[in-house]
Amino acid sequence: MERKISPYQLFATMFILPYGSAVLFFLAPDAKQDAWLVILIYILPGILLQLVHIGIFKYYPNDTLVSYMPKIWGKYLGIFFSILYILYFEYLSARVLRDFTGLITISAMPQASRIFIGTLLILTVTYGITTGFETICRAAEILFPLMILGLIIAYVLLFATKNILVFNRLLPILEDGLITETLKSWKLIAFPFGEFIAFSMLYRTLNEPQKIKKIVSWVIVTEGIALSSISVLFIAGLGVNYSTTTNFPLLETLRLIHVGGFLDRLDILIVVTLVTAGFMKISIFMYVSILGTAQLFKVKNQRYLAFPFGIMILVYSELIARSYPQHIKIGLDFTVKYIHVPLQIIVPIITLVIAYFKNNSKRLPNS
Amino acid sequence: MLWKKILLCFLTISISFSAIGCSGNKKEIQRLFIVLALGVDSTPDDRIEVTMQLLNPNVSGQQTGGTDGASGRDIIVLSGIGDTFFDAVFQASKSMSQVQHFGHTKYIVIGETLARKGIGDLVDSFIRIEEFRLNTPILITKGKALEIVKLQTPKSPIPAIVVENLFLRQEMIGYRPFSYLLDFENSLTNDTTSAVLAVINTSKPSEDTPDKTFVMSGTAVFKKDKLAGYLTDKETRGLQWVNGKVQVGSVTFVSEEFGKVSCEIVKSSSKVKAIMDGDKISIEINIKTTSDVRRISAKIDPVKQPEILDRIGKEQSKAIKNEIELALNESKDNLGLDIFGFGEAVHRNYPKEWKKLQKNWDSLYPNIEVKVNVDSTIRSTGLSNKSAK
Repeated sequence: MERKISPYQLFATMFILPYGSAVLFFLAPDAKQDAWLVILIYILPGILLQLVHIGIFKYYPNDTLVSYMPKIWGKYLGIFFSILYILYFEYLSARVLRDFTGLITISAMPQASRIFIGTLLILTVTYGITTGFETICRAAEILFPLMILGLIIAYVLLFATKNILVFNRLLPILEDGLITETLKSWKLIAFPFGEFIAFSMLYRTLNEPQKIKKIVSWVIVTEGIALSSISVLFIAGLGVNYSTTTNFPLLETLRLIHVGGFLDRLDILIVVTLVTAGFMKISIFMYVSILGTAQLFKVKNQRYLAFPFGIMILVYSELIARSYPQHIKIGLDFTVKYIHVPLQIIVPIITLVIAYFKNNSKRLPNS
Repeated sequence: MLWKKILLCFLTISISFSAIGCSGNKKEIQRLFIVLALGVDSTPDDRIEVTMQLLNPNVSGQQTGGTDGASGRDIIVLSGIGDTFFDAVFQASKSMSQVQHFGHTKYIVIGETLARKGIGDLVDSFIRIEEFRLNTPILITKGKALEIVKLQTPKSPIPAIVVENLFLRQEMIGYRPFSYLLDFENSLTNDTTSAVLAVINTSKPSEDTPDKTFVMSGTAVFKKDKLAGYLTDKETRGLQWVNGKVQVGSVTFVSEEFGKVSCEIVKSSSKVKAIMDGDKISIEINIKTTSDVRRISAKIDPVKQPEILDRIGKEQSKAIKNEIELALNESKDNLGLDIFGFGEAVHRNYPKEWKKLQKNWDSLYPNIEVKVNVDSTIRSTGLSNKSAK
């Protein structure tokens, strides 16, 4: 059992998870200049989805996703699902690693070998994990305010640069109608809002479990607002067309900053933020997959698992795609439809229903 | 256990030295050949000629009292010819002792012949190269880009900086349009708005000075990605009035009551709105400016009669409206290209109707009605109030 974490630590860690890679992309390109609005709208479904996960958690307050699956579904199906989720978290970890190494190779160091950068990142992540989850949470405690600060500084500098932000580009609002645009951007519920499923493995570590619903709701609201505001920056700074064309809208937007003749070329800030956020995200996903494996196979000292998992994830990150565009396409198409939606939405809902029946029928004899 | 620690230290040091990933990308300043300005032309046989103004890596010690800048030049100009932009740069690299670095390119200038053939692919290349910043100015020149890049200005060692400052200054004055890589790309991908770029040429200030300088005024108007025509400097200012970008400069006009008047502009802003009345599209432009009087022929005493300023303001508004109408007429009647972004204004105000209108915008545009309202506030008459003479 891990040591407990405080509500703030949970908040910070949960916030960083989707934020780490969602800031890199122009989310909801189908909504065009209303992307920011659609992100805000999807806060609500995001909260509802997490309430499903929390609902299951409430029935098994000392269990993680991996350990309650067998209790709900029975031995064979349960272990099957547990293994599925472990592999899922590993896959996500590898995807994020590939996202970051790909971007760093394309934008900052074209001649560096992706494997080398991946190795450096994974070594750091592995080391971080061997020290335990609390360390990651403590790092998140500090990194979260820094990320918010970074966002605010980016805002200030972009506003200070003349002629860069054209808010006319956000018009016309709701060009295609609210419902059409909301439905077209359905993938938002999987990425970024669905990624909180990783925390189903970690809810039990909260030292004040009655606050779970409140914390999670606030995280999703904050996340939605932060991501929505970044979308506003992209649209106002780059224009809708270019935001969808470019691989790296955050970098291009921040490169536009030019204040007072000396605040210029702040690319390095982005790469630093990137690597930090990437580190956290890969760590969390890797940690939950290790934790799940340790629970499933009753491994006594899960620290020994970190290194093999690190290598596996590094290898996966190379194998999952042959080129960066292919990696993005797989992520937007195949992964969302056949992996995220079943595992984040369908299975948990059915699990909740079964858990409800199981536990209600258990309570009847006692009450 | 000491030997284990020593081994660990040794391993750490040797691994960090052999950090292969970094050595390929290490960019020492002395080993970078910084491209300050880039010129792209088209050759008679349809190839691309690239001219680069590079910072001289052999920086010699300070030469004091040099009357001419020829000795100890800080820039080197190299050019190459190839089938594409990359090819041409590669050809030029045969004379380069080190790798060129585009990160500090102050501007890109494109020759007229190439602009007429179409620069869509070229601009796409620029965007794909991560070294080019999106806020790099792009300019068009009436002759060859080579001339612009080669020109050594007499007093300043680095001509690219002269152009950069010229570029920034002209924006406020309004004699050049907003001309950055990102905006050009956005206009290209937009179906209805026509892209515009600033124009730079060389000229001699007067017949007896031996040296040429840069002149930046006027606009190059594009149809899709091909150069279609030019706007004069007055027409350009008309365009910039509509864009709300004229921040300094002077408006001179002749009025019956006041004679020749020159006012200095302090600031201006504009609002563009589209109004649809059934099938008729009209655009309403509202300009607000504030200015000070600088030259006035008639004898005035504004302290006794402050309403004079209102009347001067009205005259100024007329003059500004004329400039704008010059630009409008050129754009609508001669060129038939929507350089103001009126299509987008209709899009913003009438999104549903725009879906049908968008395809026919080319034929609709020359027939739209444009109403210009200018509201000039004369803030003061400078330091003196009564006429001095």
